[in-house]
Amino acid sequence: MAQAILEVQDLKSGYGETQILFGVSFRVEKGTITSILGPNGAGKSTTLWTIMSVVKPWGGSVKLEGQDVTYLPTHKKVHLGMILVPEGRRLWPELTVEENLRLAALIPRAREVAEQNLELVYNLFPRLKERRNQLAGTLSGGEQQMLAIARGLMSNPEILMLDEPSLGLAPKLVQEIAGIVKRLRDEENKTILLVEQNIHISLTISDYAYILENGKIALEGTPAELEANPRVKQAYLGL
Amino acid sequence: MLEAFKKPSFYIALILIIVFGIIGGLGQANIGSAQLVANGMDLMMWIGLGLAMAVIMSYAGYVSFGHSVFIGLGSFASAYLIAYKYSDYLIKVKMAHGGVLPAGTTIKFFIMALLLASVFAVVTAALVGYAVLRLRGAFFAIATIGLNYVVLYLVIFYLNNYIHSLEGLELGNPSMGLTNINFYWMHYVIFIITILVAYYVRVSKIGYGLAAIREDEDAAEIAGVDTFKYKLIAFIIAGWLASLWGVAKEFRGSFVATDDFNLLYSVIMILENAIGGIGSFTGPIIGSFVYYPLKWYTQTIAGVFALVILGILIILVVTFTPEGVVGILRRKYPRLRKYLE
Repeated sequence: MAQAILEVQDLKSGYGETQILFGVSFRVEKGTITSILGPNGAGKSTTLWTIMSVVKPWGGSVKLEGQDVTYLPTHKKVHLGMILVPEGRRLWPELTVEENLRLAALIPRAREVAEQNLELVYNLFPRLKERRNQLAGTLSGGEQQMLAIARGLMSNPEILMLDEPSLGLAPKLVQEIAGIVKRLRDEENKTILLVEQNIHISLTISDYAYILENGKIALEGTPAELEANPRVKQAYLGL
Repeated sequence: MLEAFKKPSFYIALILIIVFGIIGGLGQANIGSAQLVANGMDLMMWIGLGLAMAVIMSYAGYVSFGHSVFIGLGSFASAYLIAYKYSDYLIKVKMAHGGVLPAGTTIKFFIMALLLASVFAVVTAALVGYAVLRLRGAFFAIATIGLNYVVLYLVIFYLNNYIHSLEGLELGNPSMGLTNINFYWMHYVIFIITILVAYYVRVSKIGYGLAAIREDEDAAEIAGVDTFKYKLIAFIIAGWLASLWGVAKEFRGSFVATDDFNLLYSVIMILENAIGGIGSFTGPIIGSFVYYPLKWYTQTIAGVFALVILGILIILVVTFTPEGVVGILRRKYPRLRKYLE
């Protein structure tokens, strides 16, 4: 087995009294796109927020390159290169595009490579370069998603976690974003954890995928295996 | 660090320091009227208090409604030193010098008061910030209101039981024997400290982190900002700066320890930031230039109705210009952005 960048084992968490995750386990290997797929309310976003300690883990473990980081505070995890691009983008709307980018590069691991990374993201997203002095809140939905991903890259990730990047975007833009995620793996050798409801598009670019249902991993496999699975066909692919 | 002071946005800070220096110079040379000097002092204080509040409210997005507590602590620190602890000593020195305190003694006590005020403010802000900065939004504001009264009543309790003075330390108040222009230069020193610190916090790495917190705290956290530490730093700086102005107020006025724990000061500091625009260094400065002349004229013309006008102003600002003057200028003239940090 190749080296796992991120290994999550039996992760449990919830909000208040309500348990959401009932022991989630998966692993993400270096230089791959790994997807966590599933319906609304399955616990996909909660998994990411728990991995990042924004939601406190109740049990289980999160390992980054073999090192146990389960209970580290959020900013320490970020400093180690665990970078989350949250659902709904969560940009800083009153700051300009470039301020959003530069802010993300203030962490120690990103500071010295900030100029290279800025060049990289402007290369990937020429539209952001054109709009670099515009306030982030005035961008279109697609541009905001690009900025969110670009901001993640500015933090120089060890692993980049994308939460529903296709949400609310037109089909053409979804294709464009998927193309960029693929490029990040193929050309920049980035490791990506993709969380999506849009199973079709995710399976076309993933190396390996997990299906999350009711706070547990229900199925896993390569895209070909999952596409051949009758349950997946019926429940998710509408075939 | 010096880089920060070479940006175009520092011009406004520099202009202010020069202008108030000139006003002081005119007063010193007896060219400027006493009124000019008095107005200059008031305006410096309102700008300074607005900037102190800005560090926590405007930069970090946390409204410290009880921020008057830090002005009060500054007042208490100076009153304690001058009207109580060293009162006899000061009176003796004064006698020995024909009823006038030597400048050296005054300066020494001014510095001592600033230091003691700083210690009070920093310790209070650190302890209280540690406890309440985990709260967000309105809860933080309410907690700071509580703080103002807790500290005020602790001070009153201390005065009643240990110094046996009911309301304050007005007994044995030695006039420092200073002329208006001396007070002016005291204000000016604190003014320069406030301007430089508030400006530096805004344009430094801390300022960017605080902006991220203000805009979206969870997003700041997952961008690697140690949000709790940044908020605590901002609260301590904001409290410290406000306490220095408490010292200025006492030296200029009378040494009464409990006068300045007044939430009205918080309201005015908040108002200045709201008028000028949230999130900027220039906001509270512009806010002061709007608020102070208005207050001065309404007080002269309308007396007690000045507060009514203040209330109406708050309603108008919140309703019609939530982004404030700086917000509007930045939106309409993006080229001004680099000057309006």
